[in-house]
Amino acid sequence: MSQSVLIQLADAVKDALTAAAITPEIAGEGAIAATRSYVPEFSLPELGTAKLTVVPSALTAELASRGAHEFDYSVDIGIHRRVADDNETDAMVRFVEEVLDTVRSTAIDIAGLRVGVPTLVANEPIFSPEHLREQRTFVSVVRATYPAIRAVT
Amino acid sequence: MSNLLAQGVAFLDAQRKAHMASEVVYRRGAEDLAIAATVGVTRFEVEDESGFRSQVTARDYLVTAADMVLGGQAAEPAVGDTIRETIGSQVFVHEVLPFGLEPAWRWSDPHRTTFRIHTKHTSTEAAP
Repeated sequence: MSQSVLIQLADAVKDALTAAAITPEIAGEGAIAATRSYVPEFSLPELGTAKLTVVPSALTAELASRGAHEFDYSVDIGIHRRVADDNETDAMVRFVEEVLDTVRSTAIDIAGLRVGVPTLVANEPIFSPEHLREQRTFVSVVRATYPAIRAVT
Repeated sequence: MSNLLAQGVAFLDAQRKAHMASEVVYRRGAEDLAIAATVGVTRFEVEDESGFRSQVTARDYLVTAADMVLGGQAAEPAVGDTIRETIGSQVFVHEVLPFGLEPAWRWSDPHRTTFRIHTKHTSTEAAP
């Protein structure tokens, strides 16, 4: 079975993030291997180390000419970790910036379709205040949107 | 004039501690306090943030305020403290954390006899 473009894209983003070997600057933390998931779900005991999860999230197509559609493929990248104090929260904010920098500067090519770099990378809000207050968990979601032109037929 | 209701609350708290409590370890920093606590309520919640879900087991503990003595002084619960509850061969570590819009603890009675401490399960260790 051939893979959907969005799933291939999500896998490529996951692989790029893993290859970048980004590490939160928190004692004892190593490089984080990204994973792809449809329904990411974590319990608090699992979040002693950072989690980096790529989720296929949205797809739109708009007619660009008589013969082609412009597609926007979006993936969400979730960043989760329990934090002990503001220093660890600072480290996680920096980690999110590194994830964002990796995503925005990495061109993605998937079979038969040159996708390139994302046209939009968004991280709003930077973190969830509710999770930080009620769970001391840093939760941030980066959305990356990639354009691609595909023939109408 | 004595307050009958306050005496009643104190009596009930003594009964709770004698018959409905088990020993847990309250930890702040490097200091441990063995204390009698009653499990008030346990809730399982799933919180959603942009499709990313967190499973949370929240647990309340009832503790007699007069028993909370840390560093030789009466103390109130604080965010980041932990309550370590041994069940069988495992120690369940619960961190003191706010619950919803409530702070991390509140008085359980009008006479300030008992703390209701909000916690969340954050790790599990093997019992020593």
